Amino acid sequence: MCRVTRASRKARPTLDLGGANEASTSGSRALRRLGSELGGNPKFFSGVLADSTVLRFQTFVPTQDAYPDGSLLLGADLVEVAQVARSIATFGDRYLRRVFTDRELAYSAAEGRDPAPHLAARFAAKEATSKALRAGDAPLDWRWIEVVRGADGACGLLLRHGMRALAKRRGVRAFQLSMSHDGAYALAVVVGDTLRTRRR
Amino acid sequence: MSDEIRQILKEHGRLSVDAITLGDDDDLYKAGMTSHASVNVMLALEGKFEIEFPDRMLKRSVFETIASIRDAVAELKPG
Repeated sequence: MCRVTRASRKARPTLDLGGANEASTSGSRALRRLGSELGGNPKFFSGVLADSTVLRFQTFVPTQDAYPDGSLLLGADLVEVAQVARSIATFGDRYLRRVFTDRELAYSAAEGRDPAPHLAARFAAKEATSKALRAGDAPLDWRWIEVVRGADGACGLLLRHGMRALAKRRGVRAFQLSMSHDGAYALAVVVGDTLRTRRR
Repeated sequence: MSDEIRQILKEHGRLSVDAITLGDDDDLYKAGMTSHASVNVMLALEGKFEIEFPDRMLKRSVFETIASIRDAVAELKPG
């Protein structure tokens, strides 16, 4: 989806993200057709970087819920571990049971672990998922997004109820999750993949 | 009720400004409230007003302003 092209020897290098650009009539037609089929509106942006590279990219603003073929939806979040520890100390089980699933709580407290860093990473994963899905003002019970661990130790996401329905509406069929914690902070990055077509 | 909500926001909202000075329609997320802090605010509201927020109210817009929180609490609080 991302490539650098030179239209002519005199032209400035062009970083073209997404194929068609605003100067391409046929590309614009193709994108308008795609937008019409999917019920959305293509938008074009361009700019010139410091090294004179012309940056052109297109995005797709859906007027319906689904994202177009091959979309990757990215979300990230950072959580301060001390804030999770403070919530546990202040609200105890009320906090833990409203935000985390039994499996998440069991893993985070297993083998004498300090649960706060693990729960902070899991909260970051939940928020990152809601960002990736462009949840906006959709109702969100945090337990509808669960971080699960496979037999190989790799973490994944299990969605329920409203979040599962939202992922389906967005056309997201698979997620990739990465979490980390070190000292005061825990972070998570989530990518939702529509998997609809092979990317170029 | 708005003053009690402001006090809860002061204690749990992690705002970058003094919650006491906020207007009823000021955006709490723009004032620095994170999603995690909004959970704490929700739990504190439930404890203070003896209510429970149902799933349909676990929305960003419900916790966006003091006025929207007040409306939600009023809807949930018996009597």
